[in-house]
Amino acid sequence: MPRKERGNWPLGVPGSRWLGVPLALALTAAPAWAVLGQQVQSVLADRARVAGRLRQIRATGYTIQQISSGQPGRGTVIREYVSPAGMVFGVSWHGPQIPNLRALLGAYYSRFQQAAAQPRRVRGPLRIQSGDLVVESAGHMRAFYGRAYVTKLIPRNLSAAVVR
Amino acid sequence: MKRAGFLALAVVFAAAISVGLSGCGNSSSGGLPPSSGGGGGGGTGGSGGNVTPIAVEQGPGGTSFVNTPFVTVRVCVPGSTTQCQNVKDVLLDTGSYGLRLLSSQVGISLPETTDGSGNTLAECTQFEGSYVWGSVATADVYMGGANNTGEVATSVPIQLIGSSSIPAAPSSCTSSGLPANDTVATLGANGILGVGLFVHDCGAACAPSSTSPPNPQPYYLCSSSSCTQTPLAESNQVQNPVALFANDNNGVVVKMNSVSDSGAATATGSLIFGIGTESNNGLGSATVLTVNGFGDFSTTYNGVTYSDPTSGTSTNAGSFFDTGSNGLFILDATTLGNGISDCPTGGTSVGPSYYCPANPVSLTAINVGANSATVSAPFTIANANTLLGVSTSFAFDNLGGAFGSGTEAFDWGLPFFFGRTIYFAINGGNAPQGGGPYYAY
Repeated sequence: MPRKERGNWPLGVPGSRWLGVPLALALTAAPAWAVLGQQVQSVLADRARVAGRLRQIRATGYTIQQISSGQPGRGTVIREYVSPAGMVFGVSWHGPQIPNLRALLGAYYSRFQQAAAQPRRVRGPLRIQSGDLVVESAGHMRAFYGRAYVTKLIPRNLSAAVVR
Repeated sequence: MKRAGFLALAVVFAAAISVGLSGCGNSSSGGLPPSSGGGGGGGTGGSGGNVTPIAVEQGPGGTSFVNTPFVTVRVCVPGSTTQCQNVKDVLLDTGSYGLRLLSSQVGISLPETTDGSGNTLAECTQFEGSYVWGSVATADVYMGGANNTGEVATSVPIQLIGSSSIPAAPSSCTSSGLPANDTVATLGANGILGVGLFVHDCGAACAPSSTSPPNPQPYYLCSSSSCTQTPLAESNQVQNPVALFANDNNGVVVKMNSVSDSGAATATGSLIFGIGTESNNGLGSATVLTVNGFGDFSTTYNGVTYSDPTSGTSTNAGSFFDTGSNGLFILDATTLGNGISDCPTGGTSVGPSYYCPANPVSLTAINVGANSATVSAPFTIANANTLLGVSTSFAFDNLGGAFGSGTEAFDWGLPFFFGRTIYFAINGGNAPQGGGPYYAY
């Protein structure tokens, strides 16, 4: 996957509405619990919540807002995949704990929770497909991996494989 | 909020969980004395003091659970040789660290850990598809030998899943969205014995000195009405009891006998404590695969290496050996190719979490350690609907499914263990070839 990395904050996402918003204002004004399926401002709320380091990674046709916290190589990395229109169409995580998915999945959380509660015959990775929502959770204690995306929100020229 | 790390955590004797000792087949109130000298398999010379049997069979959760390796763990009130209980059907899990027992299956009064204000220490423990919530208690943990007394770890912090002495799981715990597997019916076992590569279930990140605790933090202090997240010193964290044995404490060996490719009602094996400490646990010709900070290594398949770079900026997954995973959860059907497909949805199908090739497919990957050592990993994937369609079979060496379609890695679950001997060297232990953490086979 071709990817160009840019520097640390402050960042600008072409076409997004928070381009010129001062950080302090954005942190207080952004919705507290939101991400998947919402505008990119919600990333700022996430960054504040996890006290993480924010980095923007630009790729062809989308942007990754990456929030890292903890010790490199042992800490948590959360990635939020943003369309050119500023919509978060996917999220992924890797770290010692599964993050607060109520916050990351936003309006899609309850659908995920209902699907995850169904009895399973697998003792292993969790794979949920509920309509246009896909959620995967795998790994082991102190090393969890996962991702979630909404198929209808993925920009037309991209595949779900970019969310990782 | 008080910080547990600054407190002298105390233990109190909680009210006994009301399971009738006499009516419970896996309890023994009479108790067996520990082996002479108070513990350790040292000097037994491989006569079995450091071995406990593994049974893969239909467990207490019924027919929904397959490929579950069960062991018996003996727990005693610390210091007592009479207030003891053998807990059978505990899931052997090399993918986690620490002993966790369903409180409903514990009939002795194990002291729960409290702080100086009387708050009870609790934990929200995550697994890939579920979580458990319960108090932290201490127990003397015995395993191995004819009477489950071959090895002993004293005053081990363990988790009592579903303990009634603490409030319900708080929202910061339940907001993973995962279901609670806190009953025999949902867990499929009476508890979980985590004997993987690490000592502590959280580690230094959870300690009071940590500047970047995990989010959410797993440990809580609970009053009678509410629970608050807390840092916790490593010594008070739930931890791998093997690391606390007097001897044979540098890791474990999981040795499983072969099963038929068409499945079997039962399978057997041995959990051997220690690596290179007795005549029965030498590394022999096994290849050591060292790991990254997450306890993972890399795997090469079809010319592509799937790895977890340790830069901390990648969300790529790594590979691991996990008796607590009931299948070979590797890559995804498209990447594997060779006719492997997800099982269909609906009807009597087991669904797309498993693979359903028309015919068994045999493939080979190569596991690559952080030390660049390589070892071949041949495996076979058969049709899960065919395998699981035999309701009397509970052991399969060729049951598989996807790790994920975006996080590409190899979760080498129980099927990989049949017919193999796999070593788990604990972080900080003195296992041969430089000490843990590492895997070897």
